[in-house]
Amino acid sequence: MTEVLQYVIDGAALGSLYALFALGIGLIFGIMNLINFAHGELVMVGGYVLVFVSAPSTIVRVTLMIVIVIVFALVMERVAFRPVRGARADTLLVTSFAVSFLLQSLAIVLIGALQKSVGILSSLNESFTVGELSIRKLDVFTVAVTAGLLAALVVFLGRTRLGVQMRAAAEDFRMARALGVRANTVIATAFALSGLLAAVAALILVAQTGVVSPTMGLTVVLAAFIATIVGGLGSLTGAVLGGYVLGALTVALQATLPLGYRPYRDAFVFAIVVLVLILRPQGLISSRAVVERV
Amino acid sequence: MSAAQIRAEDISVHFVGVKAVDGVDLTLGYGEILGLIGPNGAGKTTLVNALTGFQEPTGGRVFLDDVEITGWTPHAIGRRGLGRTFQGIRLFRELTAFENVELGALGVGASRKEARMLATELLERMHLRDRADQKAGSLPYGDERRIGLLRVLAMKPSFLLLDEPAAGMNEGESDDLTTAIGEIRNEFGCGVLVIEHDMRVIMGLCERIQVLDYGKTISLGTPAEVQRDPAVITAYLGTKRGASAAAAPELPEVPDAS
Amino acid sequence: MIRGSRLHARWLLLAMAALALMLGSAACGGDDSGDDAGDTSQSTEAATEDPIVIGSAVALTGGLSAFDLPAVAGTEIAIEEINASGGILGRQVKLVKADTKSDINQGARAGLEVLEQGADAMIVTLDYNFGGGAAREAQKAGKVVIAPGAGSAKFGVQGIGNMAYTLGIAAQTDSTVAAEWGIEKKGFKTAYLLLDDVTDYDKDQCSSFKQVWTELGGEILGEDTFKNNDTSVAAQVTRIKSLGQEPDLIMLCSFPPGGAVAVKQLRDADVNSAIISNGAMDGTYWFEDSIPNLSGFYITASASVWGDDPSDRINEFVEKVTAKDKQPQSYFTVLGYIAVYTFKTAMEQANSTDGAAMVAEMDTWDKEDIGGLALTFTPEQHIDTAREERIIEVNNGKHRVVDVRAAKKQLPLFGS
Ligand SMILES: Nc1ncnc2c1ncn2[C@@H]1O[C@H](COP(=O)(O)OP(=O)(O)OP(=O)(O)O)[C@@H](O)[C@H]1O
Ligand SMILES: [Mg+2]
Repeated sequence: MTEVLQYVIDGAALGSLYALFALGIGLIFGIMNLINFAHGELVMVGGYVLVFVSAPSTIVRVTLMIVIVIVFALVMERVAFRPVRGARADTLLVTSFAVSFLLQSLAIVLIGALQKSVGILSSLNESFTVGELSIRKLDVFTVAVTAGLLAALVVFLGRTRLGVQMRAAAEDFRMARALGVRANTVIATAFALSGLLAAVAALILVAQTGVVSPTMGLTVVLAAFIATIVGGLGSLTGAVLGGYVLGALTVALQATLPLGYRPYRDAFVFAIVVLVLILRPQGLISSRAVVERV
Repeated sequence: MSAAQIRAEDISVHFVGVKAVDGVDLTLGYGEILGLIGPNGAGKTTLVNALTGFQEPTGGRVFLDDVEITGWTPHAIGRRGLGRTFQGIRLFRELTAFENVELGALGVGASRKEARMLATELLERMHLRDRADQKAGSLPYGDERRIGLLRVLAMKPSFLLLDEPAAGMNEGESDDLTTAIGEIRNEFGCGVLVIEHDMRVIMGLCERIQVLDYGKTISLGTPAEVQRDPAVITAYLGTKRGASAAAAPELPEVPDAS
Repeated sequence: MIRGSRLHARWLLLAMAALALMLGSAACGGDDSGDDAGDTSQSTEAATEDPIVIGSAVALTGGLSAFDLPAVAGTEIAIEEINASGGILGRQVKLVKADTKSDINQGARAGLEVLEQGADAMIVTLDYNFGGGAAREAQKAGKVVIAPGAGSAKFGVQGIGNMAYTLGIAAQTDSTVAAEWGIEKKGFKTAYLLLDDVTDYDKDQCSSFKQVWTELGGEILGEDTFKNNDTSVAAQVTRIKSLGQEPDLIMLCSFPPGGAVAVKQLRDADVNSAIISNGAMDGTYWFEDSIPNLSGFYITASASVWGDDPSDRINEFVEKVTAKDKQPQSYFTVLGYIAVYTFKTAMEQANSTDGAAMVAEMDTWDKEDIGGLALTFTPEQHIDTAREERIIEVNNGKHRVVDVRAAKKQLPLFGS
């Protein structure tokens, strides 16, 4: 029983991280019809900021990191994605792919291919025990921060002017523009939010793994991509759900597959994903049709 | 009349192989209702797109109260007082009815509080109060139409450009709509441009009618004048609408300007 | 709706294609930056005779450059030393480089490039798959080719040809040394296998360890797998913690970054077993900030770059590298250095730069002292299984050689 509960905690922590990844991708997709492959590189930038920036206190270091990643996301939108806004799906995809590739290469050239180790939030690496269960503080932190961020996002989207406008724009960009919604503002806000999500994801990821490398974005994007597809492209609830499903599935398979099959864990995950998509082609939560945008 | 009006001069929109709009002049005065008609593909929607910033015109200029607005972004034109609807209602289906209406007000710079008040008031006036918290996607068709209209009205526009507002309505509903548009004009004093295939709506509402065919104005005048114009009769030959238009199928939207 | 879902489908397809492309290129450490290194001649004074040319067809850019660049640094120092003391056979030595960009498909091209520049011998990327392309070109041209750290016996007669040698250690040898050390020296009884199943090397290492460990009477408490790019091994850690008994030794068959993640998450979860891994986990870079007080961690290595290698020659070399550049992070830099001395000894013994003549000498080497390492090759085996390996312990974040031993048991290197 203890063992099962322990696995549940493992799954919840991993799922939270995946949900954060997926939400960043889902947000931009909703607004721009763009699957932002470079989202993973935002996480990478966050990681390297933690490597290179030392500050007297963790709060300052983390705040600085969040600000830098958000600015980076905004610059990325302005420089790379604004010029192709409204272009065909494949153009957008190729652009984001190129941005991702460029940033990875840049990191290898400027910083080197070798990973760097980072110490952050090391005080959260201790465990506390509840009964026979030993729970890592970092896992609690991960789940709590994700929940807090999700709640804040719900309030933002539901209660604020920009939030309502963003949801409208996500649904029908042309119509929203006719109603006075500023395209630039809404898209920039979406990128800033995805930057925030990437920064928090970077913090948690780096605290958990202790490493930063130029290619770390790939893992992020792969997980986010699968989670959003399973959850339902275009639905933010779907992205979050997809993240938790993916996390739970990964841990469950790791825990239950016989040793000989464990190397194929990811293949099993993909098989289940494909099965879900056959049964529900629009994902677990089907959103409105993906309509063409301005 | 010259101070408050939309004035478009010599507007052209050329797509590859198609002159969708080809040198059209148009004026719409404050408080006036103008009908814009013409066969399918005549260029009506494209012309409205050009007026509202959704389509950069190939040539020509657009003035709003003597300020040139050619090349402005849609939201800037919207904030300037030019509200429009699209062919088809296109409510934000995931948003509530209330939020849909509220958006119009937010879009022109109202504060959150003002927007809520205005939305409440408008919904009350249309007897849609109890629909407020329902998702727009789940509204009955008639209410959907009305919310669509409220949404653009919440922008408090000086000019209202309606693209086929009666499409898909039965006779009773389109009569109601005709009345509502008349009342809106009287209450807000705004100028209204109506694109419509349903001639009963056009004839019942408009002071002037402008007829497009193949991107050019072929007739402009009072309803009586236009009805008698031989050019109009030729253009509509074989696609006679009139009273039967109410039964005409909803026309698919041409993918415009993207 | 119909238009919507068709668009949706098209989207998915496109996105998946792009992702596949991305993963594919990442697997090859794809990287298009940087220019062709081309000819970056390193020779010193103009020699009266034509210089001997050593070609380096390695990853100067991209993901694998992390391993190749340190080896190149070692190569450059060896050439400087040799040129300062009269060269090889009285001729100066010149280095030419070509970049494989960490792309498996660029290996052959890079190999040809250095051959065109007159390479008499070649050094390639330290991996059978990534170095193989260039090595086959050297084999065809009849030039001796060395992969400083390839840990597969296939890099040799069997997989490339008689001209190919590796200075690396086979997974079987590494794990035999690890198991014999654990049982005989440390008196450990129980072990646990944690396999990152991405590379053949790691798979071979864990399976040979299991065999030797049980043959020596040790018990395997359990085994598990993970993937190098996993962000969490929490489930694997939970399985270990649920054993009811902490294993004496965890054999971690992995490499950074995945191996680093595993060590951190094991220690974070208070799993305090000794952990032993291989040379790919040498260095401080992967833990210095994330697990600054790392203890009870061990690797098997061909040399120590931490100042306490049993060979003074190697310690001197490390000092030179540190003075010139910075503290080396792994013994691959030593192997890049040894590679040049391997060529030198072979050329001098053969009194020729001819590949076949060099091979004839090298295949007779039995603990031949080359630049501080004792090398053993036979006509059938171009990987050294008699190497005196260093067991290096990390205690409180510091490396220290705690044992030197060669494998007693010789496991078959092929098809076991
Ligand atoms: N983006 C575009 N690219 C190319 N051609 C276009 C584009 N938008 C419209 N057209 C063409 O321009 C012409 C005018 O189209 P428009 O939609 O303005 O007609 P309309 O008068 O609104 O017709 P309907 O009554 O069917 O709505 C048509 O031939 C149409 O095919
Ligand atoms: Mg139209």
